[in-house]
Amino acid sequence: MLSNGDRSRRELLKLATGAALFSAAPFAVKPAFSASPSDVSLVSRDAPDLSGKQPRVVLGDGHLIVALSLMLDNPVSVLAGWQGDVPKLSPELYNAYRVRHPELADIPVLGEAAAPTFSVERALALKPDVLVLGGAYGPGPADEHLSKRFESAGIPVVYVDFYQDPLANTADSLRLLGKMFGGAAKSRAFEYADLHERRVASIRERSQAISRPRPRVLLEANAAMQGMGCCWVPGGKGLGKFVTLAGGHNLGTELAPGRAWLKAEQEHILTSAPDVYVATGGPYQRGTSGLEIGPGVSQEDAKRQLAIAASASLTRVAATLPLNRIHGIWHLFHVMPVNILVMETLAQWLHPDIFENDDEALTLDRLNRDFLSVPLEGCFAVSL
Amino acid sequence: MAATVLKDHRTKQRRKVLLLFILAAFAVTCLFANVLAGPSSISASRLVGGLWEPGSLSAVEQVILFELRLPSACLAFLVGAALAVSGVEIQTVLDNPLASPFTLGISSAAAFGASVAIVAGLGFPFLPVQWLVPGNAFAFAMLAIVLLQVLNRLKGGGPQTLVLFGIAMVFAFSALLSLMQLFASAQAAQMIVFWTMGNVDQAEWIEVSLLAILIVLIFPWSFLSANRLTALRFGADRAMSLGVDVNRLRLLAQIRISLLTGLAVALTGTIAFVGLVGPHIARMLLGENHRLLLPASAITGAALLSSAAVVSKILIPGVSIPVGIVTAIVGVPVFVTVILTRTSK
Repeated sequence: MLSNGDRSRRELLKLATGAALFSAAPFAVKPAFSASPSDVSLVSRDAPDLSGKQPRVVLGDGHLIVALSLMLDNPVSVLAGWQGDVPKLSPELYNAYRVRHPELADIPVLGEAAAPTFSVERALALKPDVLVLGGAYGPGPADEHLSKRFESAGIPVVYVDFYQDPLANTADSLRLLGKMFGGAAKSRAFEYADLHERRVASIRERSQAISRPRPRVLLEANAAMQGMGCCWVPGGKGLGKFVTLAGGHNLGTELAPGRAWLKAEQEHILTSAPDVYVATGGPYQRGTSGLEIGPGVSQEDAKRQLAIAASASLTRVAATLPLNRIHGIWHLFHVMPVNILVMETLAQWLHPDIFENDDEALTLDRLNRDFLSVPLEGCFAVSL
Repeated sequence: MAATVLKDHRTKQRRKVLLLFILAAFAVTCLFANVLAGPSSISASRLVGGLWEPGSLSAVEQVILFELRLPSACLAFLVGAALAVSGVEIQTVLDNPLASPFTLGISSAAAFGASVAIVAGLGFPFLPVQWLVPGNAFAFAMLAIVLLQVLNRLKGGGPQTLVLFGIAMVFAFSALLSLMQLFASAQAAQMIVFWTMGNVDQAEWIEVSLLAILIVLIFPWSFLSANRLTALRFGADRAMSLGVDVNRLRLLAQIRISLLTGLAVALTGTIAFVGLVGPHIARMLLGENHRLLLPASAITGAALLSSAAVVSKILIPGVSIPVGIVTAIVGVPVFVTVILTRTSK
């Protein structure tokens, strides 16, 4: 447990490490020099076999706990330590896990919400069975200095990816983790991975068959967030791929096909004439003009905040679009294996005639019922 | 009478040499403290035992000691020494107590070089990827210093003009750095911010060795110029009348400063104030004689950065603050004191 003194010193640190680190964290865009590591793939080929023992895992990205909760009844029981991004960026999610598993509060926190803050020494000293890295809010394949040291200490490093190319890597990443834990976890992970692939294929097949012009989609990250300025939009990777898959024309793809996020020029956005606007946000936007949405947020609050965020957004789209073309989603989908909900929702928003009333569609209720041992509760997608 | 004065002088010199050894012992103590301080709870006795007998440590403890703590502590020690020696030389050749190795824009140029690697992934094609950032930082630092020399030659200016051109460099490269940050993705921008904070956490043995080799080559060279540098403290005219080729002395000193500072900054990012404060502390303790001042600066710089590194590890348990932040916090009061005593003269 942290003492009060430790806590206040921790608060001090937030000041010390600077607002820049903190405010930039929710975006977590990969730096260019590590975006294309030629010799390391984003998902490891192999993972150590931890079946038949009590595994001790260190998570380099705290949000990977959601991936663990897709396959394990108690995802906290396998944690030896984790990066600090969940309590920092998603306190509501953290509380949901802590209410179910109070021992989460005693799991050592190894850094803040950015790769350089991850303490290699503290992670090593925990002597985990494996270090799992996600490369979003913590180290990734580019951080060789770290993997080298773990390997010389005899601790395997496993890379998963729900962030750089989630469309391609979510299923493989889950299978890898499932294989690592073995047993029931394996079958649950494989079941979810198969389902993910099936749904991606099904949506892709139908969206590719659409002959009418694709609606132009402006997806804006953390719309109207204080200090973010205008206009963070997905490039051709990350959530941008989801927009394309769902049958939309992602405005950022042509600007930066190889990036997950980019800061587009306001004038360019103002003249881009989108047909559909999707804002992202999170519970951290409470009390601001941004979109409050995600764990612990009610549908009504999210809807009210969406109206405020859309009109406050520097993209000025609110005035140009009919209300039923303005939507909002939870920003943190961009680092999570439950990203499938974004796909399903976007598809229904963009082409209701094709994708609505699809009995196969994965819903939050179904995810909570069949897979997630700690359910996601709150509002994750909303429309005006 | 003369004999008494001479005897008095010898006693003083002996005292100063003794002080130098005490300082050196203190610096080595700081180095060890830096090795022993860390976020994981390995006992000091275990670590000391492990230094002599690595086999007594577990695999994880070996990695922590030999691949994390030791290289990082050695790098802090060497960078501190390199920056402080550069600091004392630049203060002497520019005849400016407020000058530091960064006055001529070396760190700004290095930061810009690093940002080019971080944001655009541009660098020397033959370098392995982990050398992209330090390689670029070093190259740009050298480029800046060559440019500065060319400009100064064109003008035929003295130290004052050099400082002015240096300031111009600082602004130019800071602006270019901002430009890179503007085009950077948020995470790359964050990495630049972290780089400019200066830290020794990710030190590798190869980096430590590189800097050690450079120091072994350059410190004796500086020491050979010690008497001429001391003469320069009495003013350029006086030094010239004593037979010192002042222009040559200044140029060679700047080459040494550029190499040492360029490499130190390339490996650790911007660590402020060690190069400014180290020399001043050494000067207060041992006076202006560069035969003592140069080694004393190296030792103070090494002790200063090592102790800053210890503070950065224990200030907030479990969190390592970039050492560059801590040195600046320690350095600012000293800096202000120097300015105040200077203007009150």
